[in-house]
Amino acid sequence: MSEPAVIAEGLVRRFGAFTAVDHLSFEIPRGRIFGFLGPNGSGKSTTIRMLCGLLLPTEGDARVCGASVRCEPERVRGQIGYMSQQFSLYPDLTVSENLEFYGGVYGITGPRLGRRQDELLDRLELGRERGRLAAELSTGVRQRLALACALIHEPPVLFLDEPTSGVDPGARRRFFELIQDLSAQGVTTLVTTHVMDEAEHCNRLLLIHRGRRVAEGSPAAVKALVPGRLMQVRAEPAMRAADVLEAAPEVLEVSLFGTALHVRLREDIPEPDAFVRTRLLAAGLEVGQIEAARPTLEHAFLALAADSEAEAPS
Amino acid sequence: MSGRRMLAMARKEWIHIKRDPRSLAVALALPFALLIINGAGIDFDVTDLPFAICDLDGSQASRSLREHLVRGGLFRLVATVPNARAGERLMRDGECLFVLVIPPHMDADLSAGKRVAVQVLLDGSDANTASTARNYLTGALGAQSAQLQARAQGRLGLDVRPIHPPLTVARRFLYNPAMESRQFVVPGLIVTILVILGALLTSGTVVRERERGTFETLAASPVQAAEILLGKLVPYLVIGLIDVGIAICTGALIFRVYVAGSVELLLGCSLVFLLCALAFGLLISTVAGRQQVAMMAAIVSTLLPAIMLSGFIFPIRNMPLLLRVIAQLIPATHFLRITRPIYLKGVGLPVVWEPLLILALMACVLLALCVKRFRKQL
Ligand SMILES: Nc1ncnc2c1ncn2[C@@H]1O[C@H](COP(=O)(O)OP(=O)(O)OP(=O)(O)O)[C@@H](O)[C@H]1O
Ligand SMILES: [Mg+2]
Repeated sequence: MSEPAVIAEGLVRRFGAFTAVDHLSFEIPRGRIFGFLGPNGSGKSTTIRMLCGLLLPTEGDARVCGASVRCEPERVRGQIGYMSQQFSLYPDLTVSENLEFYGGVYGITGPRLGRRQDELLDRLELGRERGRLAAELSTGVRQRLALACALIHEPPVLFLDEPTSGVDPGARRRFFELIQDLSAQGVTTLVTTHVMDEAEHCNRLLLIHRGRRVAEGSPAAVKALVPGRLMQVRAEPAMRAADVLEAAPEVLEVSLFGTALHVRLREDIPEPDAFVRTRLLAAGLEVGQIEAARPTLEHAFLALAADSEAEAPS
Repeated sequence: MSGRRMLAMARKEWIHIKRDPRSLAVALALPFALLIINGAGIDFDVTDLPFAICDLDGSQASRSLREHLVRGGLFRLVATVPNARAGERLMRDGECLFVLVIPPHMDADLSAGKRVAVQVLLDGSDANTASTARNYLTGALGAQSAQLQARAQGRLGLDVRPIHPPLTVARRFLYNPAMESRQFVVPGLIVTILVILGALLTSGTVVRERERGTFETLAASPVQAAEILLGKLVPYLVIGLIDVGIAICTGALIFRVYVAGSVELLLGCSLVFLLCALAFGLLISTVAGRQQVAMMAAIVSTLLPAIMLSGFIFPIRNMPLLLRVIAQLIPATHFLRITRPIYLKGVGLPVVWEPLLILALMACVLLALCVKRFRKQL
């Protein structure tokens, strides 16, 4: 029984002539956190909805806990917890009423429901809010309640679609700690996010663009895929410096990083520091420190999406 | 089907209702308010109808016709006018509702065995009263015509146009001895109330889930279409039955209209009808895109036909064929065939089983349609 918890095999979803998800295949081993990254409209939610059995794949199939989403979506539904991208609580129900309702929907009642509810309220620090209406909760608390509702039936697989959007960094960190705890207990999680810090917490990442796979691997492996060499450059004025460097064909990408610039150069430039310095001085700019930098996931995300954009026939 | 999941759904729906006290108050006050407004405001009975007479004959026969009309108490003579034009003027000023024009030589023509046409000019601006007046008048003239005929030794006739003595008069006389319309209106209003409730209460619930985004989460859970729908129905069925109770009590206490038959049977039949009404509301909410749209669609598509086509106000048998066919497709029509006889004649199941069966079938079909539409969206 070491079959991966989720196996997607050539998933395709078309809406009319538009292909939202284009032949995606991946596997998520049990107990892993799988990060699903991609720009807006790249097909993340559509993929998740197919994995939940909410949307029939146009082609391909996926197995979730051994059940095919195409042939037996009912079997899939009992095994998964799903937090949709949209707010999915009943605003006029209290915290515990929301939990009880979702418990009932999964056929959990009586003492088991009570026990499970106490456990979740305690674990997600919702105990003090149990009598409050969902409408009155802050975004962070709401998000935790939505997670609690998705967890009420102890699902082995969790699909979280941008669970932390609109949540402050502290709450976001605690949210991810929870997911890591769950992972330690063997819960498999697929999570989408636009926050690269969060992506760092994942065991494995899949980056998609326009419904197609762009990169896949551990966060370190994905970062290593960024082509070229990254330099951190301090120059005054920074905006002028960015313009000057962007004009050079050897420069792949320039982005602002705090008060400094991040410059990605082609691999084949022999002395990148000297190259940058010469260019900037020639333009009459004041140049400060120049040093090599490590690419972050953010770089990877931007670079890989841009490459894919350039390749796409569109 | 799991009873647990359905129960969870019903409990949740009940909390929604509880947390929205305004809608609940409206739902409970509705039967009371509607009965008061309709029962007291619209009185379909007309007496003391003002009329003018233009007697161009001035004979023994015309005088006796006039006396006959005035004696009954239904009509009140306000003026004797020299010509029809003067009568029309009175009518335009609202002084009288109709003008009766007796042609010259009526007596002589009658004696000569000719048919005589008596002209009636009616104020059609109040169509309801006018048609009631016409019915009364036709009846009265018909009776008088027979007398005049008799007086002319069977050879003479008075042709009054239009002449079709309305059967309804005879019926009303039988089962509504005082000829009071509220007797007739209360059972009809129960139908209307339930239709409004069904439409109002349920039309928004599915749409609301979709607007809130909770629908998607439900769809990803093992809950089934039938469980969601039945769970949503149960609390509203309870409210609907309470409303029927309120309507029956209001009718009895304020209008002194009592259920002649079995109250239990009436409640039982109401339950079946409610299922139809609520299922229809749900059906609309599975089709409509937004809450307000669902509400409007529900009201327009249920309330208007229930009032106009069910036979509540306009008798079905007088409708053109197409409307008669449509009327048969409206649950309210069949429910009215149950409430009126139970209320007025006190009949039991042996008489009302047929419309009840039709209602039950309609409920099944509507629910099945709901589930089918719903399953597609899940
Ligand atoms: N039901 C639908 N009908 C038509 N097009 C759709 C439908 N659902 C999604 N799409 C399209 O498919 C594409 C992918 O949408 P999807 O919601 O999966 O993106 P996403 O990666 O989740 O984006 P985001 O980061 O904004 O949530 C979008 O262009 C969207 O417009
Ligand atoms: Mg999305």
